[in-house]
Amino acid sequence: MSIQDRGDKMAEKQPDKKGLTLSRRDFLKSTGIAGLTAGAVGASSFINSKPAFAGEKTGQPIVDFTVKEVDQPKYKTFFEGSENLKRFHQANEAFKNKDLAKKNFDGKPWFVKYEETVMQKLTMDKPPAGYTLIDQTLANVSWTSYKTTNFFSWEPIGAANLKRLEVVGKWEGTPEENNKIVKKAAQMWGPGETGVAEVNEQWFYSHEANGTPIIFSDKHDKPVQTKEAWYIPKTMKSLIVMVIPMYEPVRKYVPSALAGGAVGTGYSLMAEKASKMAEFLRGLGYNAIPMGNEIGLSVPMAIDAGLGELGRHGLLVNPKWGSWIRISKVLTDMPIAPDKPIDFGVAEFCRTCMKCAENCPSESISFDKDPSYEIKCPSNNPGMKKWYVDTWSCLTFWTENGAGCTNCQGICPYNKPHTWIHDVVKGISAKTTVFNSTFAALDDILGYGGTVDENNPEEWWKS
Amino acid sequence: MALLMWLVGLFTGIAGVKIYGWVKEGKLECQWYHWIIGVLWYLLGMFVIGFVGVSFAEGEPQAAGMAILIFGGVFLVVTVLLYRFVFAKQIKTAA
Repeated sequence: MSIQDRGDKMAEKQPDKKGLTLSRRDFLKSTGIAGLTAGAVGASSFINSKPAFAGEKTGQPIVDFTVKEVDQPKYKTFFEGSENLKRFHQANEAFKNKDLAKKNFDGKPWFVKYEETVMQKLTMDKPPAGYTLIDQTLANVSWTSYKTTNFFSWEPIGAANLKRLEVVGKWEGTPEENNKIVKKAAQMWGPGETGVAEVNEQWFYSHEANGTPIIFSDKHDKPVQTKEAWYIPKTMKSLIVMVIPMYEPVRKYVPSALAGGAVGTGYSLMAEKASKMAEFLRGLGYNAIPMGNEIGLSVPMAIDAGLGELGRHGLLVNPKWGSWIRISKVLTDMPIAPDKPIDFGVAEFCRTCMKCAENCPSESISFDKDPSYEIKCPSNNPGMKKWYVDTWSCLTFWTENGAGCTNCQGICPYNKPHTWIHDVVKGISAKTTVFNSTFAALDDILGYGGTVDENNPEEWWKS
Repeated sequence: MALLMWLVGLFTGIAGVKIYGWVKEGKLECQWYHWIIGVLWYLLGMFVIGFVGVSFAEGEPQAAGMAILIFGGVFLVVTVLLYRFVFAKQIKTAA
């Protein structure tokens, strides 16, 4: 007789005795059923865990239970002094700054030294994985739409039929209708999120990179670019901002050239979406200026449009797509109801989580727990209390790396896909700071957010 | 997805009916806190399996492995304690 049988027999013999007469077999059965249920739930989570970037609804309002709309953007409530910031001269940014070029690039543009490093690596007996000819070429051509077309034209480019307007007149929707229309249109052009802000002239460059002033004018009714100045009519008060997620599978290979392919692809999508949006608005009878990184600062514009918060790395963190994103904008005179800024606890989380700073190869990101007024390099715009980033050492690393570095974007814990695990963590973190250090520690322990040091880019080519 | 959710309901229902039957037949004597502990144990088990499954789906095998180690370990300890201090006292064996 087996032990089980003996147990069952004993149970049968004592039916009236108080207390458990549950046999071990029954116990195992019940735990088995519970286990099967747990397994089914696990499996359903598995199926439900399709990453958000793989065809989830886009263009919808992004505000959910983890995100609350606020009247004032976090750069006014958590950070301080944004009102002190002057309009920035684009020639002062690291890419264009002549002092940096003299100091670190032998007086030449940064990309000359960058290309030298690219060639140095390519001519090695065995180029490092992620920096081979196929990686570098892929990275280059991913920029095609951004660099080789006229997507950012201030003039109509001929895609919209403007002659129709002579007969039917311009589209006259309410600001609320227009808000929905531009978001739905952007939804058709690819994944991402769209928000609308009222124009804040403070975020527009005072001068573009070659020194031409950018002027908001009440004497112009159309945007005009001349040699003397670029004129933006003051009637262009609505700013449409689009967040574009970058190609996810190569994120773990930052800062290699292969991961740079995702950046180039992101830029190309920026150009395409901004161009389509601008042409769409023109086709409805309105002026439109599509923008990539030029003309204005994308991050504060996106914050104003309710698309995210400012992170420790000085970049936008979006509640759905994290930091692995790019931003494009379209300025228009179509009346569009603006969205509200949002708060989902990013700034507070960044105080605890130093992951971007720890993984920055050039140590350009601040380790200070709290924001400060102290700038890190001459390309910073002084006057605000925030986590300033040393963009000079950052760009210098690019030239030494032979590829752009996106470690801070790739490593950010908010990049996680849209699954219940990460939604719960994001939700808790949005409501309380108590568990932030635990979440940051778990992010490391569980092995999220690696770089090319831990992952071999050859795997992507073979997959 | 719908089928899986249906299966979840089915298995949970079977487990619930089975346990209710044992209680009614006097095979199982459950105090109120046994129910709470049981539900917590069940949720913990679902959490572990769900976490591991999702982590594999995300392409994060290290997260799955660490989840088995950490959360699975906690689940195992709770299971042993549950068995040792709640059910073992009530299970009749031929020892």
